[in-house]
Amino acid sequence: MQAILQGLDVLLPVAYAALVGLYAFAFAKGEDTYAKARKILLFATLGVHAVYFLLRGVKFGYFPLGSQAEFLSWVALSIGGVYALIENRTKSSKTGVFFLTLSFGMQTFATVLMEYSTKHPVLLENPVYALHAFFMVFGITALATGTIYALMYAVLSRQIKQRELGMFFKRLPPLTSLEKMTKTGTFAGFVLLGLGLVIGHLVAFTLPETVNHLDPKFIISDAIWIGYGIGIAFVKLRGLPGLKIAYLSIVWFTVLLVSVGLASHSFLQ
Amino acid sequence: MSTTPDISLFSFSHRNTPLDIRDELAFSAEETAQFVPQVRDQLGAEIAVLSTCNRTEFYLFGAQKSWDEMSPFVSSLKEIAVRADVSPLQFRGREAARHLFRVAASIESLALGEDQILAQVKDVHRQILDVEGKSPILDRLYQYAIRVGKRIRTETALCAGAVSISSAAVELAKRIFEDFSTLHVVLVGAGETNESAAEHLKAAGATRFTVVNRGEERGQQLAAKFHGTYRPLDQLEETLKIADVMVFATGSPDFLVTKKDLKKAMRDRSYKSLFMIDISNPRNVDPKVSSVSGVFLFNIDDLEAVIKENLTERQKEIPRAEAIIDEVLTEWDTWMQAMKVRPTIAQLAQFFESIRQQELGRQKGLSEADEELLEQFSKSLVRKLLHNPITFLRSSVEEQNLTPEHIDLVWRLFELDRIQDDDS
Repeated sequence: MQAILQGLDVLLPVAYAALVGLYAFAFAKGEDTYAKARKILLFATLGVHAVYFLLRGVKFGYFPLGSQAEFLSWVALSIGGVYALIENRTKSSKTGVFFLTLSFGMQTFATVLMEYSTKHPVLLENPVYALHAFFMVFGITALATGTIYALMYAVLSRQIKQRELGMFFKRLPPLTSLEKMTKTGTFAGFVLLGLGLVIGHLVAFTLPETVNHLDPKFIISDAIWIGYGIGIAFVKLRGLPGLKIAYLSIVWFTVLLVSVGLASHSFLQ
Repeated sequence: MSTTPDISLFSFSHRNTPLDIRDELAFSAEETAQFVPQVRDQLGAEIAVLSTCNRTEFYLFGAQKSWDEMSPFVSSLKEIAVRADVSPLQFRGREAARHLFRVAASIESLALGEDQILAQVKDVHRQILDVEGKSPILDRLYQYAIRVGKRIRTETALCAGAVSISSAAVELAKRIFEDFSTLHVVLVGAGETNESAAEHLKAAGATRFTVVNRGEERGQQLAAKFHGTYRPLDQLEETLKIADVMVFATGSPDFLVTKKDLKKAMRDRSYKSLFMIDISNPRNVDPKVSSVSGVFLFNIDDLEAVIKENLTERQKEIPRAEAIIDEVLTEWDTWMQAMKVRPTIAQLAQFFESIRQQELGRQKGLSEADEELLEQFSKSLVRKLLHNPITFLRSSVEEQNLTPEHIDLVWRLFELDRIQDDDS
């Protein structure tokens, strides 16, 4: 089993690198080249990556999020997964090179740092906690992806208003697509993060030791999630200009990052 | 003047002929159909006419002709052709072929990189093919030209980017909207400018049009042309709420849309992005509108800047296009040399055969067996004597180093012209 895991540890960065190559080629040419091959390779890579975690869980007997390397590998998978969802929904692959480069980088670091020991936090043996961790990672990645699209929107919108019609102007998806991608990423992140938080609260109730449910880190996390909810509802009901949605996404995600940093919340402890 | 058959070209274009003369020299399809057989039969040459809004060009293959020989045929349809100030640019051989390739590539076009010219070159080729077997050389020349045109359009960016006001507007709209089929296009004004803009937007996929115009009749006409609806100008404020793309081209001396109007409209439309093109002079949309979030306003100067940038990008592609032209020109040369060397080889073989026959005729009183022996011997001798010169000619064509001087030398050494004349 370990030999298979080691093989996959080498194969995954190679597969992400191949994806980056294909998406970069299409981006540079400004055409949808090798679209079918890209799609097959993207889903195959994500599938193999998921199988890798399954095998790792079976081999070591815990949800594989117990080390820095495993965390980085999860981030790589979640970025790829969220991107695949958005590509599938918007039928636009023009931004793939940016996201898959992040996946490739994360997975490469993960492969370099990966260990094959059974040392892990006991909580990761709890399947409900594992589910909480899974949704949190995917939720935050989806929100980050939405924020990156928001950033692209802000850059492109500014370029168009100022008549700076450079390479990004020609290669990025149109503004309305970027707005849709921002909304898709943010909404997916809101749902996944919500699931993660609800399950997290359930885990806290079932733990044998006493947990302070008014711990600021819980309150801040919930408040940020509620903030996202209010924002989404406001945009849906009243509407906001695309640029304001973009700025709101960027600001709120920055708040999320700062709060996660301040609360020192980690799955690795 | 050389009698060796080759391509000749007489060209009237924006480079050497004023617009009024170009207009008079333009050939319709019917005139071309009448003109081509006349010239072909009376001048004994293959001929093709390429006539577009910016050029009229006569391509011939045959013994070299001067414009003085050609102009009477043209003047039978276009009197202006005999005027002293009407003088074409003339090219011959390789340079004539190069010119056609540059035309097909749209390097010679007034609007560099325009797309129509390749279709026009294809039309001429179709006309050549309509008369089967009458113009094999020009048929091949146009095949090569079409190949050049296609390669340049796929391998270079010479034809990329918009270079007209309407297409530049569509190019900008594509940076804001992905799917044009769901967009609501509002044309404010019903003149030619808006009609052209609507055509470009329709070509990009737009299907929903509304025409807002002061004059109802013209507005209704334009709306009907694009299966859209008409609204009078006093309903402009209402259309601000539903439009995705608005094109303004009216003669109004005042702003038709102000920042205040638009701020209110944006609230009503839930801040959905709005793309506005103002190509009126004076402007119809207050430039302050540009600061409203979600509104993207462009005027004629912005569009001209886009065109200028695209043209600069196209200019940069010319060296790559020229390289493709040179490449195909070399292939064309090889083909032409092969075509030219074929009659030389045939003439050479005929010359040696005639000498063989002459010498055999002088041998009298031979037995049947001796005659047979001599026949075989002489044939073998001629074959061996011809082997090296023919191999030289053929391999020179393949290696692309056969020059017209080589062929000329062969014809002069054996006086092949004289034999050809005797035969004829």
